[in-house]
Amino acid sequence: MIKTFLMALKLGLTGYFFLVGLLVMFFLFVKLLLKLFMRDK
Amino acid sequence: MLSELFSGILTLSWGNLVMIAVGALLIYLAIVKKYEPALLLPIGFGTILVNIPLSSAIDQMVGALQHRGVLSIFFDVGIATEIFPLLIFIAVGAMIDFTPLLENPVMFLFGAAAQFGIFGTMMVATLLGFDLKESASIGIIGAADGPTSIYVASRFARHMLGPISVAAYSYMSLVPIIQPPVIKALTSKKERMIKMQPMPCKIPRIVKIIFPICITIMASLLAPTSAALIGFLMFGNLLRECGVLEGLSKTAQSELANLVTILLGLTIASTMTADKFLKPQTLMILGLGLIAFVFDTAAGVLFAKFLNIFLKNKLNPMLGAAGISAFPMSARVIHKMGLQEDPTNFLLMYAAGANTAGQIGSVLAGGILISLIGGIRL
Repeated sequence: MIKTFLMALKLGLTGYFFLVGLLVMFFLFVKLLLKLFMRDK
Repeated sequence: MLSELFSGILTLSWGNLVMIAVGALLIYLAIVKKYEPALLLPIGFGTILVNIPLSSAIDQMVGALQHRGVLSIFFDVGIATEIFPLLIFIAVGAMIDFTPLLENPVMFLFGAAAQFGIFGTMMVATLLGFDLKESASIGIIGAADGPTSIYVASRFARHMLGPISVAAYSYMSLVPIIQPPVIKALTSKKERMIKMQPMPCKIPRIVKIIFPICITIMASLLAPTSAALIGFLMFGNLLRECGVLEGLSKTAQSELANLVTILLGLTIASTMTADKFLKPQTLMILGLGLIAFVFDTAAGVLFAKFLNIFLKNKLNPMLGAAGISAFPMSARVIHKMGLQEDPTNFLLMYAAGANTAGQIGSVLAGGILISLIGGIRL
């Protein structure tokens, strides 16, 4: 059980921070899109 | 001869009776309490249907021959192949307006932070004796997104699909009861009264069209297992935003959504048989599902408070809690809580932004879990 928990801990933290990284990338991407298409507004 | 005619009554067990009562309870919750009626009512009725002894709705062995039941066939065609949840995603995508998120892209961060419940609950579940794949399937209840929960559970733990679906949809409708006490425990009145900066100007149509296409490409390249999930969601959104397919967009939002919801609900009920549902595990799954929602809410709020340490214009930390995917329920809850503290504080559009970010986050989390755990041999 402890081995499974440690594996879940490792995978869980990896997955969570990967997801956070992905959404931070989307945040930057949308910022860029807005900068490109809303320059004159 | 008479025993054959009355075989249904003669083989009725306590398990069947309890499950028929569970089905009736789900119907009661759907009609009287209005808890996700579109899903809980078909699941409730289907539960009654499949717990009639020798029901022809599900597979039965008649002598040496297997009689195929319609709900079992639907399960093989729609759930085992993941078609039903994916079709629902087209409908969900067509219903979602990402404008509030595009106006406030910082809300993406809340959509990420509030997915902690998925991963945190997965860890807790392993401590209760569930294996990794079962734990991931239980954790995904924290996606606060029924189709994602069904999608992941159908891959990793089909035997637990019934309780996981019931937990996911029940807690989604209980968001107005689950979230406020957690938010109040983690924030002060002063924090809850923080007003947000005014929204920037109108988002051009071109941005709304590019957004679903580019998000699909980026997410699929980085997490290929999420390609189907995010792709179908964003395809639905593209139908909505392209401006030239209004008929298809409306069909996705109404006919497709309604038709697949009926089939999905009834089909999930095929897993709600007494032998699969009446186990101590079911209670654990329901308890862990609640923990997942609490973790999600707490992580979102705490992350917003963390961001506020660095920001000059403070964000209302309640918006962090809207980063869960229960759309639009969670956004409404946060808006209402904001109004309770200050009747001039309108948080709805900001909360809707965080909520739609949560929808994207939860779908990606499902794909990431499949990618991380799918390849592991237990």
